[in-house]
Amino acid sequence: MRRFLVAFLLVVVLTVAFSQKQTMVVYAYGSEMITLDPSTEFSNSIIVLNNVYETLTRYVDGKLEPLLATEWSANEDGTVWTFKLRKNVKFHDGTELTSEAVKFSIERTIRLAGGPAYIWDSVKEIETPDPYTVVFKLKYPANIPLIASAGYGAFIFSPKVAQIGDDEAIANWFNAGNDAGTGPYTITKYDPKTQVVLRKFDGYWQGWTEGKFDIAVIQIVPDPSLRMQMVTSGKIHVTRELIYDDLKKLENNPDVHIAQKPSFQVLYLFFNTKKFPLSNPDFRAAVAYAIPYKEIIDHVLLGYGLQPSGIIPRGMFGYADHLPPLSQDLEKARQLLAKSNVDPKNVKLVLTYLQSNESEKKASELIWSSLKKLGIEVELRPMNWEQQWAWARSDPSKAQDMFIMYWWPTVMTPYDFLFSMFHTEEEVLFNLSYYYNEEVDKLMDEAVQVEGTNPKRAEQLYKMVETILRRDLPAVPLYQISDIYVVHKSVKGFTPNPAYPNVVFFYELESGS
Amino acid sequence: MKNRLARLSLTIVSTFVLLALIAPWIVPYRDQALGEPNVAERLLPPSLKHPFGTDHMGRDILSRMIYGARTSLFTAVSVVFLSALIGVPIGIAAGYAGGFLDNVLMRFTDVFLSFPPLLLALLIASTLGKGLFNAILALVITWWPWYARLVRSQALSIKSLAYVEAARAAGVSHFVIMFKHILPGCVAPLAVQCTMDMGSAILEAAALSFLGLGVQPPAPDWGLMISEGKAYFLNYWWVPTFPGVFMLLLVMAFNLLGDVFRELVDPRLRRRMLI
Amino acid sequence: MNFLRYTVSRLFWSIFVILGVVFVVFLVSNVIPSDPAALWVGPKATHSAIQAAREKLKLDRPILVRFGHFLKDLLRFDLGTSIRTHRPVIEDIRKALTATFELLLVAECIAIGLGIPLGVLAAVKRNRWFDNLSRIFAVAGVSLPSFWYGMILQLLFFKWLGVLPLSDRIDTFVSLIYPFEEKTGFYLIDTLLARNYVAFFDVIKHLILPAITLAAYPVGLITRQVRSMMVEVLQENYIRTAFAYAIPERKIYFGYALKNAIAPAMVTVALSFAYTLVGAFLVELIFNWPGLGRYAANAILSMDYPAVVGVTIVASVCYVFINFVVDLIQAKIDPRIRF
Repeated sequence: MRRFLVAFLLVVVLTVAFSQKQTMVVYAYGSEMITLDPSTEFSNSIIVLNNVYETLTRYVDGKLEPLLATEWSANEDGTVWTFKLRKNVKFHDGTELTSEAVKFSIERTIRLAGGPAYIWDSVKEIETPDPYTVVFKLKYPANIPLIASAGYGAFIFSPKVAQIGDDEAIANWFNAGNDAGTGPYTITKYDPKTQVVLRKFDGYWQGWTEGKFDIAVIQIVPDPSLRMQMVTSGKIHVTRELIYDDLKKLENNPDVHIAQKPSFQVLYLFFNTKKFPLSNPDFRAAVAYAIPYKEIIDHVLLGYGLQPSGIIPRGMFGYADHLPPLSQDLEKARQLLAKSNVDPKNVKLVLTYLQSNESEKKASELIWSSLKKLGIEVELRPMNWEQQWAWARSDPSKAQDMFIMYWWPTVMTPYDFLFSMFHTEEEVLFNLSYYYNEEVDKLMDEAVQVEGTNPKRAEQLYKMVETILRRDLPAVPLYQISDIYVVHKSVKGFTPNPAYPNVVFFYELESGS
Repeated sequence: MKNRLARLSLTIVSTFVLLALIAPWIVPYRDQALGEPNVAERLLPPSLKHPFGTDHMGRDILSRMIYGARTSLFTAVSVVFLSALIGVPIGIAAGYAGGFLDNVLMRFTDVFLSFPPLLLALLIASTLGKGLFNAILALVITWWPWYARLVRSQALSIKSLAYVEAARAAGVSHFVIMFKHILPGCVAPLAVQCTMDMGSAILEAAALSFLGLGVQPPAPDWGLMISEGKAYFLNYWWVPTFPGVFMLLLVMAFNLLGDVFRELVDPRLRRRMLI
Repeated sequence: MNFLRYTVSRLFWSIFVILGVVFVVFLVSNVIPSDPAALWVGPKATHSAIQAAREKLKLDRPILVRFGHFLKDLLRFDLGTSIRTHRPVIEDIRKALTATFELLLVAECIAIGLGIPLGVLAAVKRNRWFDNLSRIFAVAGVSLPSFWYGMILQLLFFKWLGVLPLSDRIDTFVSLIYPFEEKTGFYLIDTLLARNYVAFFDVIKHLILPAITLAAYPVGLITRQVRSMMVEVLQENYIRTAFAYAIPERKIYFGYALKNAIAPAMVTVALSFAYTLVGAFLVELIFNWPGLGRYAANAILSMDYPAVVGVTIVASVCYVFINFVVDLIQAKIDPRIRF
């Protein structure tokens, strides 16, 4: 009965939609969207959630813009942050946005301790002195306005959901395709394997103008060639993750427009510093200099990407512009190899990568081939993520020698990269080089605390970390991909925002014809 | 005509065997066949220089296909040989001894047979881990019961033949009877089964490679080449097409041979399943 | 042993086998060096999140305890929650099963419609060129690697001729603009019940390529089987007598002879049904068909063990059931078979 009702409602909605000639935009994406809980979602579904929910602030091209909060300020040492909320903002269920709602949302996110909850680690308590003021009291200094802009785990939702039941019941309600956000769109149909249909929310606080789309569809199309065919024919309007060779062909196609920006997503190659032979610094350096960085960018990415000189991606504050990027130098690699006293004949390095990722696979094959030139044999092992990661988190002395992994930040700070991948850990999580250096820990910990109040000093500290990491080479960046979307000519106004990976903000789009 | 078909199939099979044997000396691009990338010539359509085009890493597809014949034949021979090696003694023992031993052994094979073979192979391969040897092992584990079954039913019927009973009455040891009298009687149907299974083994191993559980890149293998070509085939049709043609030819040749043999030996032999 | 006792013992044995299989699969999928808790949480997880998931999924309990829980749930037809999709496995499977059966039935119809006439004609024209042509055709059918053949069909009919869709079960825009209620889960029936002909024809268009791909194997099998049965029947005395009485040839072949060859042919059809169920694995992956095969492959590849166990149970129940029926038919029609 319930299902019938939903189907019936959908028919009504769509009949109304099409009879009034409402406009529709379709974004085709490659993977399934499995869960929809704004507190715990840490995967693809943020594509949906960022159109349905909003955050206090939004990160746009290196700057923070007000969204649900209009202004914010901190005390001197950055341990107390006060946000002023926007007035007359309504949730989709009709409730008004108040400081209580903000407190409720973030507290639920922290309480559920799902994937992205760690971003709020610094928060001791949240106070609501009046309906439009939220005060964050912290355990240690942190850049809360930046954290509040995160694309994961920072969504504000209606406190009315508490009426549904306990946290689990609320999660089930969300995962069934319901929402309680303030965003411009609301979910009308959710089929995790094929499509999510969003409809505009009439009471949206920024209002609606002619040309914006009434209906936005996120269509799941796993085959990249099919996505390409659909976008050139205008059947869908926005897509991404096409085969790079196909993308090159589209550059001269008048029907589509390729929008690109450097993303914050970087592919790293980790060396196992706790296992022979990569525990030997000279051997590690020899490998690092044997890798064909330029070839990888030219032929794996076909130039749709760049090589960052350090761990921190280009375009982010703290970027290591004081270091030259690494480059392949086989002569130097041979000298280092000789100096290391490791006989390449006696070693076989195991390299694991994500089997479903075509670029990781190609990059691995190029690494395989260039290390062969040094006489070092590499065994490639494509794996799925859980297996690859479970192996890396087991005993380092038995784990893989090399590990390829993308990192993309949850919060737009260098600390997100450096802490996750190079800070000492009690139990291995993402420090997959098993790199422990107290000096590095101290430098980055200080940097993140002064980031909100003394950015100059923070930048200096981050660069010092980069210098040490270049010396020790626990890992090397292979490339930073470009965030590329292919947009059909009938849609205007699209600009990628790499801080929100894969997200298309449908509200910004306008029909062009 | 039937003979002509058999002769043609035999020619195809021997051509592939020959190709596999002399692959290192005849392939135009030996390094690329073994995986060496040549990224500057990526995804080129068929031409004189690369008769079947190049793949996503710029490697010559023809060279990799010729090397792939090695992988396929090696897999097929090992799977069939090892399965028979395990299945035949068990089958003979069960059929000849009968009674309790027969019951136990046959119930054991029942467990394997009540399982869709590809599903079982997939499960085993994913447990053992990826790689050609594990894939072969997974197939052997799922296949040997078929041989045991086949040989058992043969052994059952031969056992009651007069000359075997005479041998037994004369006090010839069981071991000698099993190997001198019963085994030879199983050879003909076994040969048919093995020939046809060569084709199935190639297909199933390719299916495992296609799912990422068999041969690992950058090694040359038809199944893997088709799998790697899946992302590209709509716009670069040659990448998976040619390796598939080779595979079809070889599998068909084995199956045609098996089909002709079967008519000679026993037209009622129940065809075991593929996939 | 009589027929009834045979039936009962077979059935009992089958259940026992499936239980054993379930235990093995459960054990195996739990010892694989992977981390279900990490899969549950998704990439970029934290220790606490993984730990929480581990407790939630009861991964911290001993394996036998978990197997006990699993069996208890199984009695209520509860197969647990998929780690990858976070939905009840039984519900995922129920949805996938109808999709697979719809594809399977259409493929099987193609196979019967093509295989029986081909087999009969081949037997009639034994050892002539048609017979050999049908032999090559049938052997090609069983030799085609389905995952490759599917791609070739997609190239031909989608890319070059542009007449059929590439993949999926229905065009999502059609389902969006012409929605219909999923009563049975069989889209062909659902669209007809809703008198939604646009969607009906779209469903047909989507079925053609995967069904043809899947049918290749059973076509070959049925053709060969029908041929050899017919060859045998045609040598019987009553057929020769019929010829002597100048009864029309067509009536002899398709009337008298086929009638006697059909029962064993049906065994092959039933068997081929079981084979195609598993053959659908690869075909569904190629055509992005939301069926059991794609679900199983994804579950195995991502080591989503509740889903792996669930799919294994369902697939082997179907498989055992079909094999069981086949054995019964065979026992009925061929008394020579020893129990």
